[in-house]
Amino acid sequence: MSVAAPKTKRKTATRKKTVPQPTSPWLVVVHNDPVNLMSYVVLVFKKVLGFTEAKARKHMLEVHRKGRTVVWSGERERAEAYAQTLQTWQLSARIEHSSDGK
Amino acid sequence: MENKRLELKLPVPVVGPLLEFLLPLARETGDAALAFEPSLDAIEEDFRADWRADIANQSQDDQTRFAAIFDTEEFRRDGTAEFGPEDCEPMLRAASALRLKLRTRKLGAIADSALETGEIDFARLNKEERIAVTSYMLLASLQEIIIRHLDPSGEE
Repeated sequence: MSVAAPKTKRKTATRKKTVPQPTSPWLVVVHNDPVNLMSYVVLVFKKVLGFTEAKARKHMLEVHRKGRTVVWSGERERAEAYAQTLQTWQLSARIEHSSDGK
Repeated sequence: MENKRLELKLPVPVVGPLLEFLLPLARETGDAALAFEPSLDAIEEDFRADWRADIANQSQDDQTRFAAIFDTEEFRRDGTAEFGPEDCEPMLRAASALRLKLRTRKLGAIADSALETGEIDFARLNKEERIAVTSYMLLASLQEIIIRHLDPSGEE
């Protein structure tokens, strides 16, 4: 599946050192918060991740019911870019390595 | 996506509380502009300060824009505020940041479920909490209006 690049224009922090990249993917995880509106979360998923309405709603409901949802997985730098953009939209996003077993 | 300008008309009695409560919050700078502490657990240590500063800068820009749109003579006089399509996304993010700030700083005594459903006994709140709840709900309405404006095809 292809996803759109993050759309928020912002100054991006420069990575200062390179660490070895594991081969298994990094996950972008969004956690539930009691403040953001469901319609807002759906819009953010569509804008930032390029989701369809149906997919955005599915993930929004998963956050709401299960407390978290994995919205993207892949290489680390792109996962970081998505997580940071989701945070600028005030969502509780983070990256996790898939081998963490969470 | 809609390209038209969006005009908001708020009842004049709520304008004062909105400005009194939200503009000082929206004008906060630096660390105070952060509405929540971003999770940086999996981020390299050297990278964390820049990451956090990026979030704070974006949040500050959005909230400054929000303050500029509402801090006008026209809004104070008749509750009318107008902004273009380029302001919609910053306004959405700013409204979200301000709701988070209100939730953590002013509305800690109120249950999430009460704020979510709007079933709040105003008689039990002090004056500051009443204004904060009103502002919190107004921001949600503002977000809903902008979301419908940006994406009229979105499901309810």
